[in-house]
Amino acid sequence: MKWGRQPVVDVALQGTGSSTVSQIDRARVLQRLRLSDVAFRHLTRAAALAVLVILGGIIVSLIWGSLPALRTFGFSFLHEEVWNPVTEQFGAIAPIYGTVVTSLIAMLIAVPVGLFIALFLTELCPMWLRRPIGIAIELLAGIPSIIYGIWGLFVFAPFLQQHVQPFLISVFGDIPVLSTLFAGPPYGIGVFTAGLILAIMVLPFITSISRDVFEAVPPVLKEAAYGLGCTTWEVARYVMLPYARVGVIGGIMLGLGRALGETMAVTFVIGNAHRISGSLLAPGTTISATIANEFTEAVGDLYTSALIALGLILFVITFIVLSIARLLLLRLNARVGG
Amino acid sequence: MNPTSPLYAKRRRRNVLTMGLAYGATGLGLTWLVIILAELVWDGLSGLS
Repeated sequence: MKWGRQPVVDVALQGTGSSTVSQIDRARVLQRLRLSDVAFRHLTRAAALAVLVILGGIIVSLIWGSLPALRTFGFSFLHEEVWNPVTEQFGAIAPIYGTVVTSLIAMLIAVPVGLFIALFLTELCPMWLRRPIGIAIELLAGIPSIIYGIWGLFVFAPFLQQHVQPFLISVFGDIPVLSTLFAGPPYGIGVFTAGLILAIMVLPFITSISRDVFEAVPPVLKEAAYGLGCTTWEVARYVMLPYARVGVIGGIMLGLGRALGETMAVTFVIGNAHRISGSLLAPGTTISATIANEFTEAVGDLYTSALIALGLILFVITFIVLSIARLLLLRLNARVGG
Repeated sequence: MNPTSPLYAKRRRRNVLTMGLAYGATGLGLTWLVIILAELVWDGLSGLS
């Protein structure tokens, strides 16, 4: 009997034939089945291991590359503000501060706005309008970061300089803490502008993921709450958000990850000044912006090593943020018994 | 629920406020998109001519 292209599963499921030829053919097919199974298992295992190897390789090369700078400056690399390539004095606190503050501003704006847009799309928007608005919001994610950069530099920053920043300075000028946060001349570019650009950039990620997880909430839960007399806000707050919290936090973390690592748009509008200022309107820098700006000019091992050390710090910050998010989710799940 | 009770009024107010915020947030997101795209098209076309 010739098995030919007959599916191997059919052969495997066929009862044991009485003839010797049939039994040999069946054993051969089963052997082939086993071999392909083993090959598939090894292939998937190799793919999974490749991810770990690549990750390990990146970590090792970052540590190796940053060793000269870390040996020279030690722990002071993390808290020194000076960044002087001429005298080869490097400290990372200004880029770390810029990275954290711009990401914080972005998340403070993008998270509530993104969640409210998702709420609108799932609960308030007419059916015929949901798709076009959803696509339009997601279109924001499709705009390359360089476009955000030039738009931010040529359109957004001058607008902020002429209209928004003078207003903020005059309004908060007499309020103790806020007068420090919004002090100084309105440059247009600066930490605040970079935070706003980042907020626009991460908004579609938070929105689209939140909308998807809100849509996954079983209608029976929402209908039961509406049936009890809950308002739309109460349904969103007490039914949808708790049910979809894992997905929502995942979306927020995705947005935060992008905000932490965003390079081009931030480089255009942050001002690229290696200093920490109490004012959000002052120019600053981020880790990724510093690396992008200075890598081509980095002559000498120590300068290059300092930039690689900045990359290592960004990697560690991202890792810490993701770990905190994971812990937060675990504690949240443990509390509600999820 | 009594429509004249303070609790009902409070819940209703909160709902109107948050739904207004949802409309506002969507308007804000769409406005950003329109401004960015309009600026790109406008300045891009004027650069071509």
